[in-house]
Amino acid sequence: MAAGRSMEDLHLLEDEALVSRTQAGDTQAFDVLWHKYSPRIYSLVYNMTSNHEDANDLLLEVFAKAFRAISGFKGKSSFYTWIHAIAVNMTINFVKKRGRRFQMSLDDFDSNIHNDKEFIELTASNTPIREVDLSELQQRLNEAMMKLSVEHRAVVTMFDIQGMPHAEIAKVLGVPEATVRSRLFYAHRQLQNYLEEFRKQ
Amino acid sequence: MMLDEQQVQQLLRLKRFEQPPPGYFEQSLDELHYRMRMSSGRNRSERFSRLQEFLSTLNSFRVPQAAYAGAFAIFLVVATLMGTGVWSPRPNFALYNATASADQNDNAGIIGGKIQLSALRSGRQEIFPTIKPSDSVTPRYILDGQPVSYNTASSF
Repeated sequence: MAAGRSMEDLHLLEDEALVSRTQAGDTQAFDVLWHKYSPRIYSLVYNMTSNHEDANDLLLEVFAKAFRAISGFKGKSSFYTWIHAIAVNMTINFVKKRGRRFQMSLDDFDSNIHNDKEFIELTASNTPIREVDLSELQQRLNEAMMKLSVEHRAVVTMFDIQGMPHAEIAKVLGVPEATVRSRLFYAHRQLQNYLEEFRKQ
Repeated sequence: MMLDEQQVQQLLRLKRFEQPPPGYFEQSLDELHYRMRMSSGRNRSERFSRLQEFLSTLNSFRVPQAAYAGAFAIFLVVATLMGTGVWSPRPNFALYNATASADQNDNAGIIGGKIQLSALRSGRQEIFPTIKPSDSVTPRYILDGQPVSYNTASSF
């Protein structure tokens, strides 16, 4: 019970305090950071790999690495930016090593998608997007993503899927904001071509 | 007509709904704890094995066989030279000629009054080092062909 209360208290703390506690050896504080950021990091890695098993493995490796390296974290950036940078770099390295030898292993769509305003809009009869079943849509979207270079995929994932601002992406990647914008522009152009088949004939 | 950029972005945003199975993150936390323990254990064992490796390197240091052979060959050559009298590590003072010393000292490389090593040439071209005083005119006292002192006569 006392441990439970302490965990609840930890959940109220800011990232800086959680990082300090982890650095002091409080592993429960790191668990809170896991609860807070693991879904986002999973989403990042999953959308860059299109494979649940790889994403699972990378997610654990990212957090294990962050835990090992947290004593050297000086707080010059937020923990969120720092762990995103670790995740992006590890995933880029992984994808480059993996090369073309991969199979898609996709997570299911959350059933809430049917209530999503954008999904309803997209599938409405007056839009140029043809009616597709969800699994086909998912397959085509992931195939299109995998045709992008891993650097472009990272930018698209962070901007379009995770909704991160350009400046934050630039910090994570360690590149100028203009580079992020140009990568996005180029990636969107490519995706427009790859997703052409969704247009109504 | 192609899909416009906004429609592409709308399609991409649907990927937010691709989600791992319920309870996935809770279960993965246990796996993370396991990996963290393994990782810290591995770090400790890596440090220990590095130390072991270092110690075994010290322990397994061996002199190459060629070094023994070389040392033995050098010993044989030196022993042969010394045994046959072709070469002696000590100067042959029998060849030292006191009367010649004054003449030789002029060519002995005494510079600025400092003690120099010089070579005394004999008829057999034997070469050996000797220490000479700064003042070449100081008399030497020799007993049985061995120089015993550079001191003046008054010190006897």
